[in-house]
Amino acid sequence: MSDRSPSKPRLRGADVIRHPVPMLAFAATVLVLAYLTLVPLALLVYGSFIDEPGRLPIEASALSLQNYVQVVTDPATYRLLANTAVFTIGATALGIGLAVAFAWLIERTDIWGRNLLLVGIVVPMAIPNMIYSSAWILLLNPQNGWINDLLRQAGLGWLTFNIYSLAGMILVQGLSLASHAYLLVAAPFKMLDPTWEEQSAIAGKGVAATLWRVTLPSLKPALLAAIIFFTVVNMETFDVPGTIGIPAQVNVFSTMIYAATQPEYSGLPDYGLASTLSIVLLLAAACLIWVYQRQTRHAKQFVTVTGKGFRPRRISLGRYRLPLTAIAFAVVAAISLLPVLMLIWRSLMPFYMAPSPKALGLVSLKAYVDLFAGYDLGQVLRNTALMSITAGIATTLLAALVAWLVLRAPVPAGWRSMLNRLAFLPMAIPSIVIGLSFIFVYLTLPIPIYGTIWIIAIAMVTKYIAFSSGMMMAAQMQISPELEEASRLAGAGWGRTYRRITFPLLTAALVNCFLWVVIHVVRELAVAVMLYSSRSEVLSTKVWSLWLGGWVAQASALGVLTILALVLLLGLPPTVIRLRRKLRDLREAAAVPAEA
Amino acid sequence: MIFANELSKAYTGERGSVRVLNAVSFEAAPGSVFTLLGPSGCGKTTTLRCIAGLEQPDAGEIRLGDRKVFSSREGIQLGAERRGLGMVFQSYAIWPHMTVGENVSYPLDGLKLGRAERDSRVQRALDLVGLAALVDRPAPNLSGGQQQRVALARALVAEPQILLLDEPLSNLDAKLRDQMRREIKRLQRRLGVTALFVTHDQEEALALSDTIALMNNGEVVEVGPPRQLYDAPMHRFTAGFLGLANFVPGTVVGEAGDGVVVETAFGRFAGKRRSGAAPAADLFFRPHKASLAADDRAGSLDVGTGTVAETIFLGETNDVLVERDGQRVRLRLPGRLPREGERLSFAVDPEFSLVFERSSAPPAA
Repeated sequence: MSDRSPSKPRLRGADVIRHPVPMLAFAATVLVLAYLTLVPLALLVYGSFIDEPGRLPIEASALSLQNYVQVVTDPATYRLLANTAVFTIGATALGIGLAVAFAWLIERTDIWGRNLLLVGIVVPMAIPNMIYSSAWILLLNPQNGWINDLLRQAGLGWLTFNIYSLAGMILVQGLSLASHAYLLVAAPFKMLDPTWEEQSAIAGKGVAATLWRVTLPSLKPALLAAIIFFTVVNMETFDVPGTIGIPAQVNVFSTMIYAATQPEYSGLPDYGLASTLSIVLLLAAACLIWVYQRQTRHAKQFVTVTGKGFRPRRISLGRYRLPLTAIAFAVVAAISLLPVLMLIWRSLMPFYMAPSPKALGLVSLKAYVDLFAGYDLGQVLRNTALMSITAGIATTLLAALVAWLVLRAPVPAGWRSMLNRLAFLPMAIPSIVIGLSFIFVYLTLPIPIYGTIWIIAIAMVTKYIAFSSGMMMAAQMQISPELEEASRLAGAGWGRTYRRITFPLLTAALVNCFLWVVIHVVRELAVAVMLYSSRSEVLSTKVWSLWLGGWVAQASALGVLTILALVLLLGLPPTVIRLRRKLRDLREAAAVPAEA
Repeated sequence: MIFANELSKAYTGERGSVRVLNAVSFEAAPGSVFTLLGPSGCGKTTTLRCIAGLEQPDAGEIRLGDRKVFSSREGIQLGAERRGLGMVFQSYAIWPHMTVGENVSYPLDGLKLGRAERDSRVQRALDLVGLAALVDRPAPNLSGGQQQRVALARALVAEPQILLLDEPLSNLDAKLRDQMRREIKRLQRRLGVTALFVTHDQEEALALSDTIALMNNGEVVEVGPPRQLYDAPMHRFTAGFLGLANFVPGTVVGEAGDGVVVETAFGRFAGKRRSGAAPAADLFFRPHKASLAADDRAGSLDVGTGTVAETIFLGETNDVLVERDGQRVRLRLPGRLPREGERLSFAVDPEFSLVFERSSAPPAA
């Protein structure tokens, strides 16, 4: 006791109540996250040192550096790097460019039909990229792509475009990216203080000069963050390269990793080589994510939302208003309408017929009937629902827990930031790599879920926990700590406080997060394609296998159904919000008499 | 009774460790209003949160009544939920997903009461604050004043012996604040609870408290009843923080009765000596303790003379800055508004004049 100095806290451990509930929750969460991310990564690294094709890491007899030697010395690697780089940069440039153009037109100018344009630009959100690629193949394949046919008939044969090329991949990925990027880019455009632009106009600068000298520079940090983010997305994406690049024999890292594990492409699955390629991809993604995190820290300093509800004055396009409106609608039609219509058309045709009045006579729902009768679609739908709802619930709850622990738990700040980093880590792991490493985990550990939907569900949790944690943290931050503290002062422990106060206040965010995860899980192909078996087919893998098997009408039909389901899911959050508001109004109305 | 002994706490951040509480000790008598007053960042809220159990001091001891709830020596730290306190938060912290009644009944959950008993206690608590009619109102549909009352009812419903109030009036407009101030005091007297009140508003502290502990830089500077702290502060910081103050530089030139005489640019004044024996000293008096003096009294003890530099008409009184040799004093003189540039003599009540050791630091507030 005598050594007690006032500057050094001395609490004897055993006697102090050290918040056992939060501590336990913290330890459990760290363990779960480590299991979801660190264990697969460790096995992946181990696997990369094994050069015994056909064998899993666990079955190997010796470690070797052969895979790394092969990757470094094989000229194919550099072709792969070049392809990946061109694809990534091209698609990012196209996607962000379109997104910025539309964000500016819709949020800042007086272009006509803004709401319609907005709907059009976000529609591809509901279209899984594999299905989107298929639709574009139907439009632009060199044999009978509808657009190419039309061009040839019009005597413009030299204008035809072969989608089975790097340029084709870039086109499709870029167009699909535009809608995702729009949502990220539009917000800062909307929040930009209009007086900055007005000031420039007063200084005598025209619309173009203002856009170039004021608007874009002030959005630079936000745009840079979006660019880095989508560069990572493009670098790791599998859907478009898998659907277009594999038949075109234009490989990128993700398709190469996939091919290395598939006997039909390489004879024996070469898990070692796949692991090594994965690590190269993962390191590149990790570097960019690191830059992204630094960038987003700065981005907050620039564009700020002031509490004031200012109504941004729109820039008048003047005589360009009509031509720009026409161009914008043409582009939106190409991005959204054309592929969806083509897909619907193809799903109604027993064999390919170019859209024409004559072909209308062939329209039939046979492909849809086939799906239910011949392909056991019921099983696929059950699998998809069970898998996506399980993954959605698990991810959302885990994310809510992570958010609370990172922001509120009574544990040292260092621990909390460690947990934050652990939860953010999967952001840097490409989907295809998650799929590969999960194969290792569940063929190694004695947990009998390999080949079931549960392995896909768990892999999806890993895939989406980083995003979800970010979402739930934003929501948790909205809840004043005093609301939780008041509960503790009222005699409730940690558990009851979370159950009665924190959790109910998070309801809207939990629902949103859950739906967000479900939508993305249903869309996600790369994770599922690595882990599915004939017993555990889900929607995305079913479309994939139908398409590869040449069942184009059926694949199109299932694609149309998937898009429909996703549109419904995307429409749900606003509906839920409206419903909640209505319920609250009812409650208020019921409470009014008490006022008298 | 609330008893805090030698509470110390430091936060360790990226730029090293910051000491927020430094051996804070005080004792709040049962049934009294005890106020922690000080500028922002002085440690008053941290102290309150340590008493509440929301934060843990590094060292020291806290007793509530006869219960020891924190002791670094014995390794005791009782969680906030086990201290049996009522607390009103600065933001009121009314749970928006519950009705008024659900908010108020929440602290009764752990008490295993029958339904009838529970309802009647909620009713009584809401009656206390005059909101019985709003029991079914959803919490988001309350005005600021109503939220404040619900917070008070919720803090009192479990009949705690100690009530903690963290700047409860700072979010209300001036008129409502005045009304709530009286109401809180009336309730506290009626229920006989010990109230620990945190505020940065000196006027509020003077109006509400039985005892004030003035804090600065993580330390308790001075403890005493409001009148004593205001009229006869022991410390220069107290004199400067509570109300308007003049500190006039001067030199101690002699003794007068139980005080000393200080020679300043304006004249010679008598006052009680507070600290130090050095001849360099500051004369302290409050602007409203001065009055106009007839010109023929110029030069006599406790009378100062100078030129009017600035005047502001305030209605009930005038704010007058008098200048001489580059020194200024502020006076509150009711009646005729002096002209700027006019020569003016003023008398200071020696009963309320104090002499502090010269300090280089400017007085706070």
